Amino acid sequence: MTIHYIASNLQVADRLAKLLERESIALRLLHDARNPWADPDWSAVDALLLFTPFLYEGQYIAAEKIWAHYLRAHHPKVRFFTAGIAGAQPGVTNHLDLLNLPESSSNFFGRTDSSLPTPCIDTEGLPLRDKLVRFFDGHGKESIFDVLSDITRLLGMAETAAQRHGDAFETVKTDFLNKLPLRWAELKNRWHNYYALLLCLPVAGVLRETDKLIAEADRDYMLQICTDERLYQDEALLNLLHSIQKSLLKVRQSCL
Amino acid sequence: MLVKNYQVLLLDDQVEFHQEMRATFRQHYIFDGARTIPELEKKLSETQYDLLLLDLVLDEDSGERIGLALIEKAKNLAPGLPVIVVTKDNDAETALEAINLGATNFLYKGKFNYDTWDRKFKKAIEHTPEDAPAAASRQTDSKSGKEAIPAEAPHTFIGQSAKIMEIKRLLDALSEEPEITVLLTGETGVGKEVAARYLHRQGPRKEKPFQAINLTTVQKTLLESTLFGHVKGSFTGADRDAEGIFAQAQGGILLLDEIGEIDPNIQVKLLRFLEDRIIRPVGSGKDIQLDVQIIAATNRNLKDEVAKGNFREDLYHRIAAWTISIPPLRERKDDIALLLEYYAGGPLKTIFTPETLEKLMHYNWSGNIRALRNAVKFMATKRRIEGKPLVDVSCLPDDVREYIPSRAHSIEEQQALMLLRHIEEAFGATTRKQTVAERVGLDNIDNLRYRIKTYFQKFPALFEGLPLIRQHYPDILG
Repeated sequence: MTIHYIASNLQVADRLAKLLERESIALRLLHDARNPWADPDWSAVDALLLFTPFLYEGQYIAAEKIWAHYLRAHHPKVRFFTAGIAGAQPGVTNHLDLLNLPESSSNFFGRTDSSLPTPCIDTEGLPLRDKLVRFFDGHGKESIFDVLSDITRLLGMAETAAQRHGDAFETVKTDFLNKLPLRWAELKNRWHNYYALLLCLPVAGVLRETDKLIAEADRDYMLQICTDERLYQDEALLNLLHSIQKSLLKVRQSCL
Repeated sequence: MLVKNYQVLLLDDQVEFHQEMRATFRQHYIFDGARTIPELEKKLSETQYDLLLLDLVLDEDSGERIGLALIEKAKNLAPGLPVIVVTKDNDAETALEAINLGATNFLYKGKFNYDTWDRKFKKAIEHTPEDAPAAASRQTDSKSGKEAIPAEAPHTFIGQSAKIMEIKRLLDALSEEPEITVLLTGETGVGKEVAARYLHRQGPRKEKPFQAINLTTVQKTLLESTLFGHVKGSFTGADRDAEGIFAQAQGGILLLDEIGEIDPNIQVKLLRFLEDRIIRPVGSGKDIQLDVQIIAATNRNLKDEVAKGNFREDLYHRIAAWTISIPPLRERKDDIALLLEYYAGGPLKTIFTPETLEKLMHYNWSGNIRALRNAVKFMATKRRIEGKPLVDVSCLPDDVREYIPSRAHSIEEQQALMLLRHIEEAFGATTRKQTVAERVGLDNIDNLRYRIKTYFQKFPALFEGLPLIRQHYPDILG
């Protein structure tokens, strides 16, 4: 039996690997959690063991809930286990307490049920799920999607003002475009505050793409949106914003 | 050309949004604004408006959706005033709730499109539903003075029961959102395809194709190619390129019936389409971008299928945000007469004897509209063969003729009836409510009262033959 693992403390994982060898269980490193996530070949993974919390960017991170959700959504055949020195909540059957190993690891890892519970463990790591929720929803008032919505609506209304009502650029600016830089800055700030931290998540690929899209929208459009008359009616800008929205939705659906 | 300027009241706490709306819709609409609830109440009592736009999240501190409660308030303050709720993007649940509470339509704030919003405003103000209720559209034959059955198109969504009118209202609202994926649920034969076609007729895709496929009728090995097409040589027998049903529905609507039956491989491909609007024909190396609105239908409980691991959770969330449950015919008996009239092609009295009609009205129609339609065909044939002036009981299908109506249909209703009969019996022996409660195993009078109240709300008809309960609880049973 082969179990793939994600850990930041590889020495601990090595020690567990040696213990498991006695029961013919091979522990293989899937990803060193100290680095940003890079997609592995999932076809070879049958069971995943996440050492939690793991050290990333100088902080201990607890991301097991996100991992459980992600695997159910994208790799439902991969059985998910966690390991750590913290105790699990009652009813959590897929957490390996490293200070109190089970009598038979074969039995522990040998279970084939696909409905393993979402682990609920008392680690003292930073709960990344809460962070992600905060990233998306803000502090309860305005989600990142609301900010994006405002931006796309303002662009749509600006175009209507020019096309339908024949408003001059100065009027369009006063009515709509002048509000854009502030809204865009809000979006960028929120993105930059969280982006680096979120790269430890299994959706790092989508996050990197989103970052490129945001940078492109910023560089090619938003920085000059109130000065260059041609930009706000450019369909490519709306397409870019829609792509950003789609990518963010993908992250949300994959993780929450 | 006469251009009418409509008076619109906008309730939103963001002053910027007021300015934006005023500037954008200045051609045909005069906007007035309220930012607080007292301001709204004052304006509604002082001025007559044509339309109210209601932002649902007003309380920024608590985040409470107070706008929902305002729908009823606004309707009381200004009866007949159409209300359009303004919601956050993709907040289908709130929009659905708002429609259920009496809103005419909804807008997603971030999905601005001048023509769509303008159309929604006008449709709400002018109050001209494109598919008027059957009673309103029923015409009178000027020569005979009799009601004539309208020459309705096939797949007409027939029904005037409260439930069906509610669904039509919701479909009317959804028809303005050509990107939304809708899930129709309901038993076999309730008219899910009819509802999908109604949505198609009402919306901006009506000039484009409507395609429907029952996913259980296609061989599993051919399903992918049937849906997405294939290129020549991609499998044995593929001697030329073929377009799939997705491509055939380009620009229009595709109904995927029995969505709960598809295997995981197709689920992944469907998810990909819903996310990126892209398909890839079997054997092809190229993706094709399509603009097709998906309506999914099922008689299964997809949530259960997700729990069992048979249906992808992410796909479920993609298709189930806008779920419309079409009730079985037994839960909307008001519509039976209308359906019989429609399928029989004339006024009921001129076709059925009163006794036959009675039987038809009380049958449980477990096969729903499809079964009713088949029964009407059967009776018409029998009447013709036997040369009868009217359809009498002998023309009825056996199961309808022999059906003995039970007063209680569902298990819950039967259990309710059983308990209520015990209570009625107990009241025959004593008038003391505590004794009655103990005799029927409900321990105390609070439980007894609660049970009676709950059952009366759910099954009022059960109380018709229970005079003693009625006598002891006049405040509940009226």
